[in-house]
Amino acid sequence: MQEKADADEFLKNVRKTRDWCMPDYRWRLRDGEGLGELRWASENKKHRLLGFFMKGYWYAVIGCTHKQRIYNPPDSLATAKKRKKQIELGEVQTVEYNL
Amino acid sequence: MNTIFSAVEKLRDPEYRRAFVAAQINVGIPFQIRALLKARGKTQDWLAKKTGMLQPRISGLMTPGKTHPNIQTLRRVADAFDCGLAVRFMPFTELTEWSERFDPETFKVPDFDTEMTLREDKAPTAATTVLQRAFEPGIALGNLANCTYWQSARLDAFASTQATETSFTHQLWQIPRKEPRMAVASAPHHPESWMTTTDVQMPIYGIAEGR
Repeated sequence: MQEKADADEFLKNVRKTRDWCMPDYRWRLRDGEGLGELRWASENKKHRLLGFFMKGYWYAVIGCTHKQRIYNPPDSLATAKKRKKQIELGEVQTVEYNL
Repeated sequence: MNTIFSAVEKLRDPEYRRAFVAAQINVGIPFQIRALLKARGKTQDWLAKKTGMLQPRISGLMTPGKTHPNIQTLRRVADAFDCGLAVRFMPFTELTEWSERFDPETFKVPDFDTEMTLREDKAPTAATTVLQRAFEPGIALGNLANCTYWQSARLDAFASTQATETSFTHQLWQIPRKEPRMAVASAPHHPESWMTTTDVQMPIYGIAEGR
């Protein structure tokens, strides 16, 4: 629950921030095909929310934790790429995240 | 959905309420510290020197969720910024509203000297307004109970320059609390009728003494 509350608070603040940059946001992930990641910590874990910008909105595609360059779940990046493509092609619907 | 409404709905869960309070410290404080540094055009190194902490610790304090700063640490940071630090209990709705309204882009807290300069500029107007309102018939002097000590002092300074029959010091303003509807003016020769001696109830809630 603490991780949920921390994520809410982080997203609430970062949403109001004009320039997204490190350490809060990494614009280009290696082999990410245009994906970026929001970064924060909670409960001694590094949390990541992978997503991308499109038409003035930022789309979150998957949340995960990160330790020594390894995502958990391990297939987070692959899933994120797949979902990004689906959103870009209009194959799936998205909903506004309710903070 | 309205964000405040949505946030309050989440708070119906007691576990989330506890986590929400912690999140204000773990995540909210780093955003505040960053905003303060940015507003003053200072660096992490500057803050490290001012607080006597190492730069990596400052970096940690500015990273959401990385550290859990205690009150002593926050006091050191407040001291470095020469600003106040409020640690107080409040209703959840109030905390939620504060969190929703907080904007890292515009959050600023002036240091003491800047604050005093700003206040000095504004003070005469504010004091004049309060005093003028006090002279209006029917205005509750009880309103002055809301004045801070500083405002009272400014009021005193302002009043002492007035060439009127009545002068005031902040010590002469008394706000009766047990019988708020009873107003007694003890000085018989005030220029305004509502200040004359009377033992009947009047629509004013204070006592003014002249000298």
